[in-house]
Amino acid sequence: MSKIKGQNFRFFADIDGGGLAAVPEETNVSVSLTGNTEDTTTKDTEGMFSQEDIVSTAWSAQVDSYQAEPAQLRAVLRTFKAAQPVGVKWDQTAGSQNRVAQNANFKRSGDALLNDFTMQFDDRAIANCSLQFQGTGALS
Amino acid sequence: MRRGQYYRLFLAAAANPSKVIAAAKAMSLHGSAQTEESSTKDTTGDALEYEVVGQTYDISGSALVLTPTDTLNTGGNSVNDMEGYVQNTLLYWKICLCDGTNNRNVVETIASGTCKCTSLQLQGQNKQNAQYNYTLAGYGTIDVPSEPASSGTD
Repeated sequence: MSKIKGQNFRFFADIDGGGLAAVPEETNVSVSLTGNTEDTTTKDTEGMFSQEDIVSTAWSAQVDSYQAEPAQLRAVLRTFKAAQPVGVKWDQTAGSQNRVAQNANFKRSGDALLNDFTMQFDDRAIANCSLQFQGTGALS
Repeated sequence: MRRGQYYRLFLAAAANPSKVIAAAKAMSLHGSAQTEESSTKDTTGDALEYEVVGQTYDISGSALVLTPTDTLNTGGNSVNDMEGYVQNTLLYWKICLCDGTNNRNVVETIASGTCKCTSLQLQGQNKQNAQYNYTLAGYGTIDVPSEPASSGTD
């Protein structure tokens, strides 16, 4: 069994036009894929159970990190203000700082909107930044 | 990695705020975009497409309640100042990386803008330092300064 550790499952984003790069100081990534269903049960359907068709799909991702360098935070803010989809992907990584993509079978890429962010600055705690992306269009 | 105490919120009722929140404990900047599904019959495939139709942001934080004569109030916003802000007053803010005495010397500005103070809560729990929580609702856009020529991204 060849397992992928969480630190090797990384999220890449084209923040502020800098090209696809691993989110620095990433601590957690969570990707959600959703199939939106519609009941297609008709009078011709046998039994009591409904029959569901997936009529559309959507996806989103949340990335938590300790990135808190001024330039990094400004880049996030500019990307948010631009309100335009940016390129993103996730992949299995290895190498220096776990940033070298391995093109694993579960690699996916697409475009997404940075539609939510939180920058947290607490006394005596590591500053952190959470990003939420809403996929726009299909994954490849 | 940087610790949160080096990022300070400056706030004032006039442009170019120079007063931090005195005895600040925590602070966060949160932005949210309102998206609308924009898929049409012309869209290829089943994947939904979205576009941004609005953006909002807010700043929230907490600080200790100091006595009016505490020296940290000098050059900083006290709880009395914050109380005065809870009205329809346009406030100017900026978040900066700071260093120096009491972490008040500006090194770099992250962002700035205008806001309204929409919430102030004072708490006095037995055997605890009295503190207050505030919420600032963003008014207009966030201004982000351009990068210094030598700045990197990671």
